[in-house]
Amino acid sequence: MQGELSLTTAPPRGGSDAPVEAPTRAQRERDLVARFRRGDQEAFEEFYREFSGLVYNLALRQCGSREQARDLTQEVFLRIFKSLSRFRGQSSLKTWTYRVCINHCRSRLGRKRLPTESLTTDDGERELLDVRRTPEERAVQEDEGRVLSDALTEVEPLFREAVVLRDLEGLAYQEIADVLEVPIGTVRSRIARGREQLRRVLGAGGAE
Amino acid sequence: MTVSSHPATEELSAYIDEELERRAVEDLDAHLASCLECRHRLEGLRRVVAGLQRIESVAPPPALEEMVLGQLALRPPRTLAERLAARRRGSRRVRSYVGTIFAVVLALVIISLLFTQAVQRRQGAAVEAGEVVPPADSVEWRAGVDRQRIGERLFARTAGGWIEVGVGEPQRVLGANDPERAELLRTLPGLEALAGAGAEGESQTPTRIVLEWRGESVALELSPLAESRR
Repeated sequence: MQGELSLTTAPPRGGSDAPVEAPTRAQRERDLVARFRRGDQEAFEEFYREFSGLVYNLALRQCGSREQARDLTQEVFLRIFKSLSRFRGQSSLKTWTYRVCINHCRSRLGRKRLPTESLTTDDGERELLDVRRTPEERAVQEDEGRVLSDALTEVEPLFREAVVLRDLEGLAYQEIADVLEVPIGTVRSRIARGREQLRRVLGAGGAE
Repeated sequence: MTVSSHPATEELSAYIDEELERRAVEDLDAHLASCLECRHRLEGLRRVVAGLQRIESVAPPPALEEMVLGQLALRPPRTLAERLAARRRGSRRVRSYVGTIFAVVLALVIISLLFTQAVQRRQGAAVEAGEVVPPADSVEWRAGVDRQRIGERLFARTAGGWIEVGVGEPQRVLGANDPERAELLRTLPGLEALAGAGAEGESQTPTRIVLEWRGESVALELSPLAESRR
């Protein structure tokens, strides 16, 4: 989803260019954290611009409300600001940011059911437009997105996290395992159960 | 894999993500070729996944950057909207300061009240209120007499001399040669003035003073002149 990010990892299934990309990204991340430790204020601004979309969208899918997503994003960045200097680079900065965000959302939201506010209506916030689509195609897509977003709120939080990380954020199973700090088998199971719950909510065929 | 052993949803889901081992993929392909029901399930899951992948990112609200970075005081507001947001945040901060100051003042008032009450209890609040109350076992008490304060101690004049308010019958008398007497007079030099207070020219007559000294009630006879000669 965050294709413009310069610090983030390569697409999970991109494969061939990963060995070239990884050291550069890791070095850039180390530099950024080092600058932050030295008190370079611009470093955190850069960090915010790189990851604000990621955090906001992840929070939005977890809480189901734009207003609450704003609050959660603010809180997540406050947490990150306090702990970024302790980042040791054992995972990528993106994975670490996802983890902080997921953990914060869990602690704030618990297991309560999400509100049914539609996440795709445009109430003043700009959607990321795909200029290749015609208005008709976009309308169909928005309708479909609205239905799916609403259905996503029906999914159990643990399964929803995994599905969002996989299908909306495009993370590989191993990356999701790193973010959620669970075995890869658990990731596989949560994704499948989340998708199955969605399929049932949507009535998307294939009765058991 | 046969038609009778349908794959679990987990396998179908991992199949979509190409996360199955090659052997498992071959088995599943073989099963799907002969099982309409599982092809239907797989198709349903594929539609869910494809739909999710088409959900677009939502751009964070523009004001959020100022909220986050402003909250961390990393940069001053730049645009009018940012300045207004900062002002709103500032007023919230002022309100929180007012609340904090109010709480601190309230706490200080309560503490000072408690402290005053404790002091009054010690000095005999009833006497402070104007009503002269004799100590519990005073030898003699005359209402309406003078009161004198030495430091934090309050003394009332009775027919028998000066008695520190709240102090009972003396347990011992500090004689003229008692070393504690000199120490007491050094500690409370105002006692000599007390001895002369209201003596109306009878300063030669020793005045009896009863007071608390090191946790017990003591009495001493005191003449300012005599003490000053000493």
